[in-house]
Amino acid sequence: MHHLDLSGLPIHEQIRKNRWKTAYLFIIFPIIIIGLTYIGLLISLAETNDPISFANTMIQTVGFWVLIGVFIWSLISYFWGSKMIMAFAGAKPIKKSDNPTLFRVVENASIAAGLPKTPGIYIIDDHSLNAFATGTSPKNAKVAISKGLLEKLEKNELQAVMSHEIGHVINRDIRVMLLAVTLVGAIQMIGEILIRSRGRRSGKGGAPLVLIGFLFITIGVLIGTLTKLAISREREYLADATGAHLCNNPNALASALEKISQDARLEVLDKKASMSGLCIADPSAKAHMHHKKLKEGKQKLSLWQKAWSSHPPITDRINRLRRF
Amino acid sequence: MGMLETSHIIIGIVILLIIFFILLYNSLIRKKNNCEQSWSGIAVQLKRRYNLIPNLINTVQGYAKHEKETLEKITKARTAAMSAKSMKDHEKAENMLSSTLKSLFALSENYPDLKANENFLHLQEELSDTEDKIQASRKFYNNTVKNYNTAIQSIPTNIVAKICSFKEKEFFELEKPEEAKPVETKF
Repeated sequence: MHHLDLSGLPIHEQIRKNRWKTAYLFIIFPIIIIGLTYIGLLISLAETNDPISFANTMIQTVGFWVLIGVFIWSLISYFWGSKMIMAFAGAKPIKKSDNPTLFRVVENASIAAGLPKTPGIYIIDDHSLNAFATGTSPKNAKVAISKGLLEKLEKNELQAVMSHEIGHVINRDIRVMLLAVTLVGAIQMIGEILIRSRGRRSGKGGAPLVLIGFLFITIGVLIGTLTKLAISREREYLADATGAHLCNNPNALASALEKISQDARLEVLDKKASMSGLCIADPSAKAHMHHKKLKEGKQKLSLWQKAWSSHPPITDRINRLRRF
Repeated sequence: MGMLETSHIIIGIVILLIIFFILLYNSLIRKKNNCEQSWSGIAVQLKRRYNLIPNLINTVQGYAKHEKETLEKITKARTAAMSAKSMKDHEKAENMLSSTLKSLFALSENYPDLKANENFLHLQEELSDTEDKIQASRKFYNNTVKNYNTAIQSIPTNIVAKICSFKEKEFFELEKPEEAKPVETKF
């Protein structure tokens, strides 16, 4: 995955460019769904005697399930997603009197971003260094930061980290990521339903469905996941740029990222890989290894490693911020 | 037949142009309202600062009797800021207020009793928080103004702006807190 070198542009322009970059990545999802269904049909049509009635069956079955599947998945992730995320991370809401400094930092970043209200503020009881934002709209946004990170950051770095999270909120990244996660989930679910449909259908009618289902859960999920990760990485650069703009201090964000890269690992999120896109740095064990590697050996990550990461290499992000 | 078709096409184009005009007009109105809304965000914070100052002056008076001059300067700056009409006057008055406050807090170092007063500490914290919030809301305001002014300057919204006389808005520039110098005071 290559990135345009935007280093010469003012932050506003970077934000604008990045928005467009993500928009066209989303085109990949309908292409996967339609393309794979089409390929499945093409292969099966070669063996069918009655293409018209076959096509009708396909519309009624595949078309119907695609709609229902995407709809149910969207509802679930839209309404329960962000509540579940806080519970999974073990994040507890705090009051202003618990930590006035943190509260004011978030208030000020929200004012600068023009949010309708200050997001709910949560603390993750964990000594590792990470933070994330969630909520489907600026009105119900929530930000969370780990105890470890809260202790380790200087005030200007805390401002920068919270501005990065508020950046995710105003760029509607949470919605974008939920949509991407939902679409990958939907592709997988439809694939599984199609494969299982074999049992209910007798004989040759079920074969193309199984084939399409198989294409969905292999190639579909693979491309979908890679696309989701690419979107996540772009959104991360975007939130960095927005955050740096909001706090007027790209260097503070860079130095915060340097600290975070020492131990961004959040064990509690191991089972929620889809969530890592919302964190300021990838909380997975694999990313922890990458951070170490980048730090010690100054080695570059391979294209393969980059493609499977939810965040751009942390050194790249730091370098971009230093150049602002 | 030919005439009829041509007139249909012309009517169609006119209707499309009117719709287009309405859409552009509405987008300008939306951007203008954003500016006004974000300005009220600044006004809230400025007002909060005006309200904190009399309390601060009362507290300081009891401890630092020799700083009458500084306190008077603050009161004057506050009055000037509250009655400022133009954007430029407002900027000047608010900058003045920030720097007089800053010099008062610098002076408070000389009065250990004052520095230990809880009310004073609370007010100091509130005022520095308000200062931060003024800066934050100013940032958002200037962003909305930039957005609105850019729309007024660019094609095709500039045509609508000209016809309906939308005027560009002024930015609100304040000195950064770290750049504002405390006002010189004589002892």
